[in-house]
Amino acid sequence: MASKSKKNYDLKATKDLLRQYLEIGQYKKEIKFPEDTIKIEDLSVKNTISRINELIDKLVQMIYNTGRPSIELPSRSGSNIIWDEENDLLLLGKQIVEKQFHSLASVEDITRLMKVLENVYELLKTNDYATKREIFYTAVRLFKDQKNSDKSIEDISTMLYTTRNSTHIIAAPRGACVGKLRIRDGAEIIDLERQGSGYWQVSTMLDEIDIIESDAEFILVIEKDAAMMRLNKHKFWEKYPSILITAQGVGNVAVRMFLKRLSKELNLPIFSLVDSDPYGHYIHSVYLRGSKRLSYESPFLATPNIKLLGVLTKDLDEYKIPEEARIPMNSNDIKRIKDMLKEKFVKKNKKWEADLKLALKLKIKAEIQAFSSHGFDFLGDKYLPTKLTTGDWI
Amino acid sequence: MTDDQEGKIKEGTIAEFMRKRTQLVGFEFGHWKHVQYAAEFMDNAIDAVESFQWEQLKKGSKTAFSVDKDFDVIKFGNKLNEDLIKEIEGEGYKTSEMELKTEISQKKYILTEGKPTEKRDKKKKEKLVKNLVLDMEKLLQPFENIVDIEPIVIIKLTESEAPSVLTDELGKKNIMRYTFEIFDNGTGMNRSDLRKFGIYLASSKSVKLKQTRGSQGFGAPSAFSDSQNTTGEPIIAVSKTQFDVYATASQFFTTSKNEKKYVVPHTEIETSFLHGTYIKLNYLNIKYISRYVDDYIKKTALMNPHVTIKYIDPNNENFNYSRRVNIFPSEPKYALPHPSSVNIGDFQDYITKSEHKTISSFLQDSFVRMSSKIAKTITNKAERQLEEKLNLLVVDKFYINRAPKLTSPIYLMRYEPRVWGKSTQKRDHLITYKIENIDLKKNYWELINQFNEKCKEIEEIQKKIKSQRKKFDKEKISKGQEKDIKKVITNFKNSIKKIDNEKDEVKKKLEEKFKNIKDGITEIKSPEVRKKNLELIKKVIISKTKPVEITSDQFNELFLAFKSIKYLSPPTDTAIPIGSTILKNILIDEYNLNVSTNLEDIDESKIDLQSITENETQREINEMMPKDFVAAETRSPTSGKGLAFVVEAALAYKDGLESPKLPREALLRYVNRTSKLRDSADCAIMKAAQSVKWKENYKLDVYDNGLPKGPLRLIINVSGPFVHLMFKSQSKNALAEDEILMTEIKLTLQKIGLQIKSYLNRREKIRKGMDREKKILKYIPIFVNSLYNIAKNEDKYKNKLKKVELENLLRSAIGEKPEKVLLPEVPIVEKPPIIPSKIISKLPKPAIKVPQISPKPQPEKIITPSIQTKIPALMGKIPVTIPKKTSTPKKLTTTPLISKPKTYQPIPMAKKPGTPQKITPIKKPLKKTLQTSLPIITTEKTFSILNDEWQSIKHLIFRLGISDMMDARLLQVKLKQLERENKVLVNIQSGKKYWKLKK
Repeated sequence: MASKSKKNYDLKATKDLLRQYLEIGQYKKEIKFPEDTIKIEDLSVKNTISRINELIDKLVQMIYNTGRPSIELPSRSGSNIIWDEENDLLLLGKQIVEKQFHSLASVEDITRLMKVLENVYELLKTNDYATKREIFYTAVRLFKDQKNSDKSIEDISTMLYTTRNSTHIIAAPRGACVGKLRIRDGAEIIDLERQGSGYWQVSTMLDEIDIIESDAEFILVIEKDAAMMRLNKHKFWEKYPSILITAQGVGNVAVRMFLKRLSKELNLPIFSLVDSDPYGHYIHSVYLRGSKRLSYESPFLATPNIKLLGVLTKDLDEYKIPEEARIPMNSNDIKRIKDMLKEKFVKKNKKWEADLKLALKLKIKAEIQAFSSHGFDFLGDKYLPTKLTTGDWI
Repeated sequence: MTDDQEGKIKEGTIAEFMRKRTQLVGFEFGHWKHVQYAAEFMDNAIDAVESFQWEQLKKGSKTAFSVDKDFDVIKFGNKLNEDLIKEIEGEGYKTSEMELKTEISQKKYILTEGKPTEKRDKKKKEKLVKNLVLDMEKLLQPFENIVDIEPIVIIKLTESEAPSVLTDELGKKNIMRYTFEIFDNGTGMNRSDLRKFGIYLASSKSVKLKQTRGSQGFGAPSAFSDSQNTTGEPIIAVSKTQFDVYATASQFFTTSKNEKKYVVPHTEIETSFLHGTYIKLNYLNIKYISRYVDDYIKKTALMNPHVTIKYIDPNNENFNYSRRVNIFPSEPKYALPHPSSVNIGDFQDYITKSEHKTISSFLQDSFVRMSSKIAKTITNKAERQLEEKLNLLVVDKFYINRAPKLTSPIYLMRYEPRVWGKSTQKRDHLITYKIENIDLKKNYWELINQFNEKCKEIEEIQKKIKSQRKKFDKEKISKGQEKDIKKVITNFKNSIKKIDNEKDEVKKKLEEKFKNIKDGITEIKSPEVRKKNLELIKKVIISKTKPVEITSDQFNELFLAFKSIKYLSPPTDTAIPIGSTILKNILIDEYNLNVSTNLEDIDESKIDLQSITENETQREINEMMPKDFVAAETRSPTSGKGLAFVVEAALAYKDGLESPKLPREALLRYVNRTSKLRDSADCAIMKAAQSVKWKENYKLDVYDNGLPKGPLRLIINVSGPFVHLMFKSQSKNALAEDEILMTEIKLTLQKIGLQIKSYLNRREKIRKGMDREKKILKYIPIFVNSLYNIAKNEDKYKNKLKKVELENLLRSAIGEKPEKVLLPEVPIVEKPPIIPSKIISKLPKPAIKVPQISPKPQPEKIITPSIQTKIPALMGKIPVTIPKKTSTPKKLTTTPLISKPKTYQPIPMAKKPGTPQKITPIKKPLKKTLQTSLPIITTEKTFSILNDEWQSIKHLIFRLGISDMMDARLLQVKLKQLERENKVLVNIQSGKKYWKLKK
């Protein structure tokens, strides 16, 4: 077998992008805050606890004064939220929803809030974490259904003007990460270069995690577990210093949160590697701007600057994926493409729009593994480096 | 051809007729027959008792019943003197059963009409008589002592086997023989009355109209007929008035000739009662089941609380209804018919039967609201009409005819004293003259023509009225049009009156002209003419005619005049209602209602839930709910169409009251205090009750038949003289649908409906409030628990905060209206204007340096910029002033003890030089205003500062050295608690509370 000449790609385009980010990061944009808005952000344990204490003070005062306590929640209606994607800001306005104890409509709500607050306080004090389900089980009769306790959890974090993570109510750990990254998790130092053939499971206790250092030049978000395995085996991230991360399907909270953290702190270019089908594009969009339901969580889970690297529809021809590896689309796919074409963020991105239209025209889809038709290492040796060098992303 | 040739038509008697048709009066086989017997005789019994009492009260007699003391019939219950029983049975006296056997064996009167058995030995006769009254004595024995003091009605029904010879031919199953006995200590009957008793249409009440239960003498005779028809046995009747020494006893049959045939003729016997009536009879019927007769008796007893009733049913069960009131109802007055309720047939009837000598006296004595003046007006009116008809003018002192033509003779008649015939003295005789004088004639004609003209005018106007009236009959005309037509008609009538007056004036002129005239007139001596004129005069002058001799013309005119007068409404004391107070008390008694004395007292805000624990809550809540409900409404007696009756209704509502099994039993109907159980669907009372919109207007559920549903009882009673209350059939179970009656009932029910609506609303409101409070109460412990668990970790709350206290505070705030907090206007947040990134790259570096994040992360923790973290105060400020319940001393308010909520600054991200940062003053946190050493409010401490003097809260606060509002509030709570536990004395003066130690 003739040894394949290993062409070393210099990943020029990627490096340019990286440089660009670093420059931008120097300047802070001028933003004029509207009056009386508060920024939502993560808080340390100490700060969260002090905010809770203040709330308690107020309540006790109210009880002694009038005997009718009430809690004020900032309203999460569209008119009261500003989510600035570009600047990665979440602001809440002045509108308040007051929940009174002595009112039949809200007595249950406010008691639930109190219960969740108690749980949060305990978690913070003991530096413990809990999932949403566990919170539900602390008072099943009171909550009656998990969606009630979930709602109360959201309310609490809004009330304290912070993220859900700061309340130590976390999502379950999912996903995998490997690459040029060293982190500290509590008292342990974890080197993601030395994970062997496995990966580090992304943890959601982000309080505990500090990023120590990273040599990476970019981050690659991969849809498929199989592709990740392939790249990891070939130590792709060694050859081209990067961090590989996968959610094993649609982006879940853990991965997205971690990715956000990485993005904020490391300020690296982020690329996504998905199947060449509408679902893959959808997955990319989830990373890009969160799930369609603009929930309170979304701003903290979206990476607005993620770029769609592959597999693009035009790549199918460019990289000569054989006919037999291509699959025709079904009606669901077509519907999805059409829905996506209606989205604002697609319309903004001309290249993406063009790619989707092409896909609609061809009505063909293909998976990442289709590259195996050219050899197992085509993906990591040829496809990715080429794209990264030429800057062929959306 | 003779006049008395026998034709084919024979006159029958009422007795013959009714004997075969007892079902018309409710005596057909069935469960209801038992009820009918009870009903008929009970009606009579209670009537007798009442009429006795009224008579005695009128006379002030000593024999009246004394009703002012309470009476408990159960005490006198069914304990028979056992010795007496032995005595009776021992000596071989026969009971009714044994009686039957002997009689059957004697085959004396089965299936025959019964022949008088007058051939008996004296001894046998005595024995028979003794047997007659044996049962009576047995029945009365327990009440011997009170039978003259207490109004009492005793009914007993016994069951026995019917002889097969009787039942076989009936072809029905389950036929039993029943012995019905009834005793009452009412007026009783003397010998002659007793003779008539049982004869159809013999009644003491039909002569005059009065509000009584029984009326025409149909009930008892029908009962007797039925008894004889089914069993062929005679009836026993014993009666005594207080004026007789001995009672009269008899056993008899009634015949189709409406006579009586005696088995035992009237015999005088001793009885234990001073006055009263006892009746015993037997009948066949299907097997007795409960809930018919006992139900009827129960309901009747309900509405007649002034009489004691006892009923013993065939199963030997006793139903005792003691007298429950201490006053006897007042006596209704006799009622003469009212003119507007009299029709032409009645009028004819009255007149032909009348024994009066003049029409005027007849009118005054036969009708109510008839004075002599009105009678005169009527006769005058009638006479005037007759004048015109018969062409004879009645002028004051003479009569003059109305000549039809110019050429006809004009006669003048007047009374002059003359001597006639063989008499020597002058007597008034009617002399007829003929007018000859031309001048007189001229005058006459002048006036008569005027008169005639006026008559014509009147005629024309009357025609016009007629045509107007016709318009009424046309198809629907609007109310406005109706009014107009009525106006026009009244105008016409007024003009007629005017013309009448003018006519009178003409007559007067005639009088002037022709009075005492002596010349120009010739006397007519022919007897025929005289006779004719005399008769003519008689025809006209009604006032001098005897009622029985009235001619048909006279009658018609009289009747018209009679009807044309507007009479006053009939007197209303002929209809005596039960009265709303008594009705209410009856219901309260009967259903054990728990009614609060003043329904308006329930004030929700005073519900004190502070001291309620979980277990107590339900009980105390129940106490606060409004209790049961009773409403009664008695209308004033109506007087439409000349009828006088009173409608009253009552409603009782009580949680837990059983809903009646049949929907129609939700309404208890009474007429003159007798319960009506049958024919409810036909009855006007039922229909009126159904027509009320219970659901829409008064929030009551309804059955399909429109009656209100729920834990309630509705009672309606209609009282009035029987002739004014029209029953639909002879069995007197349903009232005829009269418009006025229905309206009256409906109005009464609507008034009650309003009351129950407000009651139900109040209950609903409180219940809703209770529910709401219950729910909130449920969450208080959970809330406080969570709050406490967080707060206890803070130093400042350690050992100070108590869960119980917090819970109490929350509880006490339930039900209060919150003070309105005005929220400041909330601006809508706009997206911040963001400078696009392209421009940024051109911007110079900002002057203020912001910590930069280096591209290569250092091996240290990345420090996030310090941020002021304070809870934003984005809402309006919490009212700082202490609510005005507590009297706070002045010095406390001046020092701000409660920190105002803090305002927060937005996190400074970028500051443009020149734009001042928005600085809001940071108020002192709560910690600093708290005193370092806090006085702990405990019971001992509170007691330590209380002494023998009255101290207000000011003093106490000062003495305890409190300067924090929270502590002051705690002190208040503590004092309240001690108050409740009765450990301190409280006094309120000029709105302020003062406390003192309790010794």
